[in-house]
Amino acid sequence: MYRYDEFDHDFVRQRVAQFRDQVERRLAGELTEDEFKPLRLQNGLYLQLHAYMLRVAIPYGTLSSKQMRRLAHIARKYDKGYGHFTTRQNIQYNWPSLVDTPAILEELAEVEMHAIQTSGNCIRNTTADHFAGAAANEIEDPRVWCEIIRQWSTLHPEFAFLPRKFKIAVIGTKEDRAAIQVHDIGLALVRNEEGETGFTVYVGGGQGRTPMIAKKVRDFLPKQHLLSYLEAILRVYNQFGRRDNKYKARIKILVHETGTKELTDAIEAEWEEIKDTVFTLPNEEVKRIAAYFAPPQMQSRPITSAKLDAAKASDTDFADWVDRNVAPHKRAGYGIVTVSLKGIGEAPGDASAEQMDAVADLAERYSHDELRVTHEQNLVLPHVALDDLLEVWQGLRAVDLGTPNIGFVTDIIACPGLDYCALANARSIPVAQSISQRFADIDRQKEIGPLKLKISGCINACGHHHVGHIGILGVDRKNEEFYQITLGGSADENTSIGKIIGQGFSGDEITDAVETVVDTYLDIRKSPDETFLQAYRRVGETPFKERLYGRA
Amino acid sequence: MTKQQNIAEAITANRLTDGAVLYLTATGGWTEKVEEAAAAADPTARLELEEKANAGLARQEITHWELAEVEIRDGALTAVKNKEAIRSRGPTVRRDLGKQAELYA
Repeated sequence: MYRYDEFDHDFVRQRVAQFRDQVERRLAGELTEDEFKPLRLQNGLYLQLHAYMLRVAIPYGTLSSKQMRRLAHIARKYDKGYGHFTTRQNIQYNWPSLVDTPAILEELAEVEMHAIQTSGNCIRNTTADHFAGAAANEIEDPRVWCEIIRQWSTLHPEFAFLPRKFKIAVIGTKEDRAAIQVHDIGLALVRNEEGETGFTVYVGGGQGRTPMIAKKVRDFLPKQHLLSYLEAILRVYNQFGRRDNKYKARIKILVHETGTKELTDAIEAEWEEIKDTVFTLPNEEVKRIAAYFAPPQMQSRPITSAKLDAAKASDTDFADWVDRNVAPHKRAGYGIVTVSLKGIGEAPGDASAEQMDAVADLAERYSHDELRVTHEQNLVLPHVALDDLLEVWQGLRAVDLGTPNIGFVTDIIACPGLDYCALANARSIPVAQSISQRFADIDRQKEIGPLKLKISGCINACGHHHVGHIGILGVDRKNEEFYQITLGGSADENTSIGKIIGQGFSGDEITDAVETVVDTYLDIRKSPDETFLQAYRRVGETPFKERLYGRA
Repeated sequence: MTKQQNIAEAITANRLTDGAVLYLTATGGWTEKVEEAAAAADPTARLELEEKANAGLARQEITHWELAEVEIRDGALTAVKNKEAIRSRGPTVRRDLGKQAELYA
């Protein structure tokens, strides 16, 4: 993984010193809140419902055991002993004090971490497939390009005051595990007929108030032109994106209002001017960065593990976990482990300091010292030998991280909601907990099969409800929390926006309503092999509306 | 704007140093408990509270302040709006941690 060089170390240290000075001046009254707010946001420090909230960047969701241990330490020393992993592969702390934040940033800088550009109208964390570098059918590791984009976008002087935030995601497989089509820019590594790899470029996806699926603007962009092309897109956005209305300021609105063809023409025209100039990526530079992402030295192993097979045969709990939480690795004899942060009845995506330390230890010992954060609020140990899966599972179980529910209905995405967030209209975590408990039985979850449930506490959609197979949106109705259900959303390579099914439900009713939706699916599916999403796309909303409301 | 007779307004803020939710008291100090907030039932009373709040702002005690509707419910002053009620009592989850544990265990 990427290691800071002298320049990077100097930069974050200076940044911490600068922020420390800004905090001191604020506390002394030399800066007003209005003057200070944009400065603290540039270091990822929000003021939320009960306290400040610090969002720490985890570039493309990749971190080492040392970094995870530091995150645990910060939770313990400066917070209330836990952190929350987010839908952009970052981590949030809910209770840091302003006074402590410079010290927190300093401790992060020591392990090559920071909170820069995790807020504000700038380019945010560039996210990636959480199986990058390990996935069985990967064309190329997308994180090389995420790192290049990170360096290009950090403190980019021209793009420090964009009309609004900007989010980029990159994948290296046909399967989209990074929701690229609901990002401002989505990049997919592909191979052309000559066997060269390049990028398919999507622009203008997003969720929030006006969910939109990104439009393809280029089938194949040669890799050396990545930065010049991104520069062209950002320049067009920076110039023409709306600044008159905060709710119409994302690039998706620009695409929608201008027209895909017209906007693509504008991008291509800008690109003509700047391609083959300073932004062209020299091969040696790409290779230098790619070297940071070289696969770890993995011992040759047989394709199957007798030890694993025996353990599965003798322990059904272990077998359940392997079947659900372990994905195929490109190297024979290895697997990709997803660690569920969705314990039954727990707050989705939260991890205690103790849990973080335990996962760090397991990563160091069994996963070549590497971890990932997924945008679905789970963690990944990307390089685990099949022979070691039993020990890993036991280690996870010891800290209540062994839930075998990846991709099942209890693997819920939920935003922090009204329990924490100043923007929210309704609570999301208790809804997630209630639904999780209703479907706790693992055999029932297996019967239901893959089902992505996503909950947002307000229309900003940080819980990605628009792209849930079942989405739940919390609203405030006459000072009471109320929940709308959407169906048929998806964030994979066949992205779709969910459709509101009808009238909403109270907090007391929503779990029953979700159960009704699930039971309807079980009744109407052609066979157990037809997933919820497939069934919905086949039959539409009518059967679900009838069961929920007694009428279509 | 008409208000129900039993609804008044309190002043709420966040403490500058740690972001903690605060309510202005009658003496111009700050409390973390909404039950101890000063409630203004008329514009004159509200103006007095606003002056005290601005004094707190000038002393760098708070980040900003806002008005919050409050009412007496079950004998205690409480926030009217759902969001403010949660804000006043801490998250409804993880009740063993944070303000909710310290103040309302």
